[in-house]
Amino acid sequence: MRVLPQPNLASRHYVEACRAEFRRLVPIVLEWRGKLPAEKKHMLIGIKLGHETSIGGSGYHYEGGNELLAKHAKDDPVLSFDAENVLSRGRTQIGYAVVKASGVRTSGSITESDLRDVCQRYLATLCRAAARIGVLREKLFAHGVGWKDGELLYDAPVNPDACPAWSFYKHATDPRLDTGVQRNLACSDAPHWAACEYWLASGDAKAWRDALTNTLSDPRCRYACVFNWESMAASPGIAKGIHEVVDAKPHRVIETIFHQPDITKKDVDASVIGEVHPQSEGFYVRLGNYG
Amino acid sequence: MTPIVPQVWDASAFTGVRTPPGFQFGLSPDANTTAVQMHGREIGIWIDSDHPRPALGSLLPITPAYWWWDMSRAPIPFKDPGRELAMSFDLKVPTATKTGKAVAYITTNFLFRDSRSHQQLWLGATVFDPRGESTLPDTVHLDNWEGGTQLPIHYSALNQKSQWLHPGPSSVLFTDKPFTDYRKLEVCVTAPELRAALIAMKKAMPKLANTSQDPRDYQLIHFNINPEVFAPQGSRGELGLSLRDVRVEMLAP
Repeated sequence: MRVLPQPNLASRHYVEACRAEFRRLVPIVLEWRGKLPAEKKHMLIGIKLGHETSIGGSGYHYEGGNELLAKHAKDDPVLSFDAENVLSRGRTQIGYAVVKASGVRTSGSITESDLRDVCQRYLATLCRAAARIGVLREKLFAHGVGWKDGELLYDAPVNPDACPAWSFYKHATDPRLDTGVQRNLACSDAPHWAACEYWLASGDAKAWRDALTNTLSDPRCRYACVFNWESMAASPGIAKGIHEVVDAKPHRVIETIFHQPDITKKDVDASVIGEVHPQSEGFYVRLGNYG
Repeated sequence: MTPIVPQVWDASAFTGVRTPPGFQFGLSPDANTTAVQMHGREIGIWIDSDHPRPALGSLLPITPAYWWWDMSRAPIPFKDPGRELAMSFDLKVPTATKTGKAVAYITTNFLFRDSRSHQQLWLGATVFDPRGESTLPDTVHLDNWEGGTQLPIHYSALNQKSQWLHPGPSSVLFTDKPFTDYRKLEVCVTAPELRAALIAMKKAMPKLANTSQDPRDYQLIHFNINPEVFAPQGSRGELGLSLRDVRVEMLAP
């Protein structure tokens, strides 16, 4: 299957076209949610921007690709996707236009951080624009991706206006083992994150139940969205495993006695105290027995 | 009192959490010394028992905790039947090392107060201890370590064996090995479990015979997560961890 060329994510025209579309679509979604009764407002889980945002990951260019255009698609070469090659993924290197247009680099060779930076800027730009038209951070997700464990591209969906989200295939069994995701969750102050593209390569009910349980065990994980679900019909165990998770009787929170507040610069000094108790109600970190 | 000072070195290699400049503190500005990081809903804690040594004794706790000082504001968790008290948070423990007799461990603690006799007691769960689960059967004793509260203290490992508490359905259990990924912990207490703890306390400490045995009489006046290094002279313990999203809730099972 041929897809359209990878867009230049720093192209003013392309970014403006993206903005124009969600300026049209997002208000429709927000208006719909606004009209929902209070008990149904949870039905809007979130709005996702970007899609496996990367350079040369989902859209790529074969050597001599322009010459192939005039030939039949069935004669296109087949080159395997090289996840470990974080620059070209085993194909012709692309991304020169975007790193130049974004001002990240004007000479020399493209680096892994260049590609991360342009993807991060692109998602940050879109998310900032969405925030300005009223999408709350807790409802906004930026879709990133990584293929090589821990690669810098995992950083791309982290920005101040959205919650980060990633695709999970290799680590669908347990996102806690995904070092690129965990590195970013450790430094993200977003209220949520999401497995916004998720598929486990198994037809076994227990495997699906355990994998989804692991994924959703992080209280900040807002949702997991199953992709590539066409094969589910042939493997009834998948639906069974999903049902086991969804139907599990959760504990019902009757009353929240305490929920740790965000600690910002203005109150961090007062939150760390020495041996003497502050004698005022609150949450503190106390360093004891140091005299 | 030793003043708390800002630190500019990065404790993330020990705690597993990186905070922006201005969010890390300690007792000394020197690199690699005991540190606390706080940013957003994450807290990183690094204890090196040698840097600095405790002013007195051998015990070094650094304790995120909530205090209710006005007893009229303290919650009464079991005033209604069929409820569970739960403390949950995410935890990772990338670093735990020792030499000699030092021990590094992490507990969670509820402090209850009998509104009739005013007797207070701790109910604790050990969630990490390299000494292993077999060393942590249900135990009640007096908190009489250096700086201790001199109150009865109940300890169990967070597992399915304890008579006094239990893990929530999505909680990981006690472990004796460090881990670098965030894992959800949930420590739950029901009224029958608190009653069992009270019975065990009165049996072990007959002088507390007048303490109420009815969980409905008890207020929650404090809770904490207590990473601690015990390092007698000649030994050294190091403990690096981070935690986030602490919640205390009442649940309907």
